[in-house]
Amino acid sequence: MASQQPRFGVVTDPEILKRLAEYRGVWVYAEVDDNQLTNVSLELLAAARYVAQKTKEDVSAVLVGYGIERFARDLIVHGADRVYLIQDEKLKLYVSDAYTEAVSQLVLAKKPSIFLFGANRNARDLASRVAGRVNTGLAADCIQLEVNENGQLEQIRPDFGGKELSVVLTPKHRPQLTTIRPGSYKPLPADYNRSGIVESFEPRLAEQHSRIKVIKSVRERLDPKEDLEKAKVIVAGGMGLRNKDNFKLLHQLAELFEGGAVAGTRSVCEKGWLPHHLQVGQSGKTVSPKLYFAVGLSGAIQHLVGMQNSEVIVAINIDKEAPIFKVCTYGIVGDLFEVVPLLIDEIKRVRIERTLTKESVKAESAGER
Amino acid sequence: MPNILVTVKQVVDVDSLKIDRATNTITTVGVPRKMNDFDKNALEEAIRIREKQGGKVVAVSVGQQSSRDVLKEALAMGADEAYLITDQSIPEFDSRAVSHLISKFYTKFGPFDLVIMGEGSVDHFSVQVGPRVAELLKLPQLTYTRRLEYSGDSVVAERDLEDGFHVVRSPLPCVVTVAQEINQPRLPTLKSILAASKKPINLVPPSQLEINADMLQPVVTTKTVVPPKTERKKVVIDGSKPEEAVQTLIKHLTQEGVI
Repeated sequence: MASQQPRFGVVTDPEILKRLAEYRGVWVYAEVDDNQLTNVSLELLAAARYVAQKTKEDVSAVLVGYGIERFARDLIVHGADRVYLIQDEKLKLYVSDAYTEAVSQLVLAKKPSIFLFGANRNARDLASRVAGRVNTGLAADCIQLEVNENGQLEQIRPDFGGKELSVVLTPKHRPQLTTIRPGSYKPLPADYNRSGIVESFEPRLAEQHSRIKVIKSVRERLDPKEDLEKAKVIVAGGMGLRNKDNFKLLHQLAELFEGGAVAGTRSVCEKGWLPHHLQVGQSGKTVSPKLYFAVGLSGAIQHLVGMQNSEVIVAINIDKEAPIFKVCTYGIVGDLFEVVPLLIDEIKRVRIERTLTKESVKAESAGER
Repeated sequence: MPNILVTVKQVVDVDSLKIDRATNTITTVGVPRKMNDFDKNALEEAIRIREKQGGKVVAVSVGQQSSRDVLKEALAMGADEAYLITDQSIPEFDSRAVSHLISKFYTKFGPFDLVIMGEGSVDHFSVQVGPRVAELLKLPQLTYTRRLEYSGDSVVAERDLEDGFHVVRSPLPCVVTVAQEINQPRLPTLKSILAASKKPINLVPPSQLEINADMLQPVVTTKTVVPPKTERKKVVIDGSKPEEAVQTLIKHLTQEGVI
């Protein structure tokens, strides 16, 4: 019986294979928000280049909006071979109707094989509706992409509330649509020697494509101390903190670092110990700071998928079996209420010593003269 | 008076899931099931509109027979009618198939003025059924709604974006997906649970819904296998003497150049 089971996602029907072969190229959706190209647009280009080098295809960016042509160059220097420029006054602000129509017309005309979107809300909204319009599959909130031996895109995403990762294939439909969590890839450094083509595309947008009216667009700026995606150092707490008040301890540690922020696990935010926008993990933010302190948190996969791209991970937990110790760079098995205050004192001491040493070196060299 | 369709999904309680490390698979058999958290917010919002405006709240679910439980819960919360689209031959549908079933249900059992859904489901979190249903029905969609105002011929929604929000107006009918911040779902009372137990759960086989075979074909296939990548040093220090442990850690972090 088992031998009759088709292998995972393998397509053998020549008719289907012929149809799939008509689709070529790796696309990314480039989003302009608040007169800026979003960072995730550049992250998507990095992901696309990685994939395109395996599938031996070109990378194109689809830039949608109004008065946005100046961003085409940014996309090229960060990895796009081609930029499709879609401009229309109806596309000034994001609305699903007009954006879906514009992007779908381009997809149907040019037939890309792969199309990547950010997993931010408006881009998810768009990707889902485009998937419906062009009748294909969509793997949402992916954190990693690979290409298998059959040239299919392996879309890797947390599943079951982040208990485990899944590989999703879109075997018989094209394009393979994916949304990728912000922070999963790092933008490639700008290469000003790169050249690319900018191609304008004029969609036919009718009245029925603007049923939804944006009455108000409001930006809520994050306190820089709470902007986890930009934070250089994150001190994250879990249920081991025992109550809301104890997060003061984590704030003290975070304040020692420029660009330091406090974050928490899902449970902590659900308890109301921290606000929801400080949640790291599958249903929260994906972060990649230089230094990540995981304090009193066990390291459930749903949390790990949000922070595993951090450079150095320090775990502090009383339970030596906690899964966080299997992914950390350094860990202390101990009581956080003993360890963290000591750590704060030691970092302060080291910093003072460092300053003193520098000053005494200066004083000595001054004395030699 | 609005006729509101609300979708509810029975999901496994992900906190109770166990992973079989030998086969690297997740077993969902025997795991407790519950109503998707976001769907409670959708129901709550629909019931609040009905309480003000009159009309009717219809709950529909796509899933196995056990999904009767979440429909009972929906009735206990205050839904007026409950329907279960179920087919034993197909254990689980993917997002596209579910969307086809819901949109065909809408067409057959409508007209509805409003469809309210959760922004996603806590099990797979594919966050796409709302827009897919809207697309199949050619209706406007308002996703990630955290505030909703209904007036006879339109809705105004506050859509929660990462660093701000949009206030949008849409004509009716339309599809709204709600974020958890939108409300605090009510708990059914003993009285409402008893009343709900007397109401029927109407079974709807897909064959009643003008569904063709292609609509139920999966467009994605999923394999749950990959353990998270771990390529770190994993230097774990015994903290029974905290002072020494912290000293050791500080040495390492100084070498890394991060303090």
